Amino acid sequence: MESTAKNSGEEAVEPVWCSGFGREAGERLTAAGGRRLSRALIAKSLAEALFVAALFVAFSYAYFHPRLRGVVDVADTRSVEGWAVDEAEPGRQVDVQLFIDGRFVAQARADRPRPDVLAAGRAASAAHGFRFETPPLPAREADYEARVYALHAAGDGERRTLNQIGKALRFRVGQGED
Amino acid sequence: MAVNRRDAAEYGGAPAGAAGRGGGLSAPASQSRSLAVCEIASVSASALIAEWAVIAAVGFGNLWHAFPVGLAFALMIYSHRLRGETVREIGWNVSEFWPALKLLALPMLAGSTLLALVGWLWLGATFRIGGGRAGWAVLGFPVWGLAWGLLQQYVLQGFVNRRAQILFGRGWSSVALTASVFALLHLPNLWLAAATFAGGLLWAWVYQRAPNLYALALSHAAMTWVLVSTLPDSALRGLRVGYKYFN
Repeated sequence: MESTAKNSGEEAVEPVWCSGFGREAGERLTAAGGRRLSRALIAKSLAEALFVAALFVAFSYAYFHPRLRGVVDVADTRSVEGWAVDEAEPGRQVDVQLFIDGRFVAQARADRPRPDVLAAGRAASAAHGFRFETPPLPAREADYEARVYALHAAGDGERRTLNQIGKALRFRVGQGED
Repeated sequence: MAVNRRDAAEYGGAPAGAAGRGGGLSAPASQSRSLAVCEIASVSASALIAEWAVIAAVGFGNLWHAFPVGLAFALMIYSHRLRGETVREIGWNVSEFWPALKLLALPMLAGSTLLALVGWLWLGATFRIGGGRAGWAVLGFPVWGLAWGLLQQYVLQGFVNRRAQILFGRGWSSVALTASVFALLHLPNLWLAAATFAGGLLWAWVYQRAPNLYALALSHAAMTWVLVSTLPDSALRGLRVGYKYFN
């Protein structure tokens, strides 16, 4: 090729690529290469979308343990009672916390006897009940709201989350109390 | 040689033998540019997923980061092959080392002086070698700093800068885009984002004139060392970025 050019008296035209000059990379891309690159980009995006979704589900499962079950049976001026169990580890006693009107009141272990829970097949033993003494509360016209949360340790104990057990129960102190 | 988009459009297809993997007809310039935008966005998204989503969900120091980072590297390598880019022109060469270092020397000196003045006069910091961390001062700079700098400069210059040049040609538009991507990946650490934007401008500008990743990595490691030595940790927050910044 070079000798032909010299013989014919023409200058040999060689592609000149300025080193590191990104522009030519755009021009070297073939139509087929463009299609392949498009497919690779789509595949990568899909893989990452699935990865983020899986990460979200794994995160939710780890931190907001969905297998904590329980019920708040009673909430009045005397006590707040119920049961809680971790279905993933039905033999383990769960720690629970009582909040009234969003304020922390007390923590206890759900280890009181609840034969009905065992009979219903919800736990491996009967020792999954909890009972809190309701603290003295000033009388008022509006209801108080009691919520019980089960503690769940995640990330090798680095984080602890509260998962509500059952539903919030309302009670009244003073005139017309439940 | 200044090249703009008009030049690129007029330039036409690549000569035979210079085409990327697969050969055949060149892709239209508009398609190539659109793909370059998607490539920059995709690699940036991978870094953001690793910095934000993975750390928020499972914390730092685990293998979950490897998935988005691995995908990004796979895409970059595949893209280099399809676009027919050689290892040498990406910047893995020794021939451009000294020219790149010469271009870097004066701005680095000016940047170091500016950082020392900002740290001393404005933030009231005292100069502490390696930010007072012995491990960083002794081992961090030559080993970790260089390796990390090389990795970042490859992604930033060897990929983002080159794709930005497909979009805008060589010049301040592609330099600014490269620096902006670099700063974006250092948010929400505002001091670090500002420093990386300034550094990104310099490194992208130098890369377009003397593409050498080793010189840039050396500069990256040196400027990181100057940064942690001059600015207080209350401003830099241990160079943490992404979700980890809040920890």
